[in-house]
Amino acid sequence: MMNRLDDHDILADCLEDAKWGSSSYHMAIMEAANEPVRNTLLQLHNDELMLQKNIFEMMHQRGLYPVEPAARTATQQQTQTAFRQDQGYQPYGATGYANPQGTHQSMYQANQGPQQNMNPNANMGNQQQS
Amino acid sequence: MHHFTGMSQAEKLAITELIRHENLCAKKCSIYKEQVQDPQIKSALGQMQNIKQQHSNTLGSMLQQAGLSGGGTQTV
Repeated sequence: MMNRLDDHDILADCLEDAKWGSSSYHMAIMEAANEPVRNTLLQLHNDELMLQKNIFEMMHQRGLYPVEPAARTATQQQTQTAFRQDQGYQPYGATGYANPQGTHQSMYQANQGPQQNMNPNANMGNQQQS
Repeated sequence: MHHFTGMSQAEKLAITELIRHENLCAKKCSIYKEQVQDPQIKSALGQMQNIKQQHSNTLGSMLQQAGLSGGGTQTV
């Protein structure tokens, strides 16, 4: 019968519901101003994620949700491009923002820069003189 | 007991929408579990229905404890 939902349709709809529900809980948590409300929503969101995982696994085990590995050529290209970008990446050029110790900085710390370079007019004065 | 006093309008709207979603999901699980052929999926749908109903009750009691009468929003 054409109009009847089979097991695949039913699981696919449940999976869509779990995805939508998870997004809705996420947005609600982001809007939560009160800690008890936020904590309760977090618990329910976690349940929703577990449901999504269970549904996905049921589908995957039955071959209803095949997962293909990433195409090797595309992966290699992306890795090489990312590597090249990483090699050439010098935040704010080479003037004063490099970390002399060579230790890792978070992006936030890197963007803050050293204290002596916080004044944006300092470099401008140098550029005018040269 | 009133842990959820001072709930914001944004929180109330989000929770109301979530109750609607959870109730609809519980109703669908109840219908779906009678249609599926696979007994394991049938059992999982029964469990999901219970979880969805519990979620709806939890969300509804949050509104009630905040003095925002969640009882009326639980009906689909």
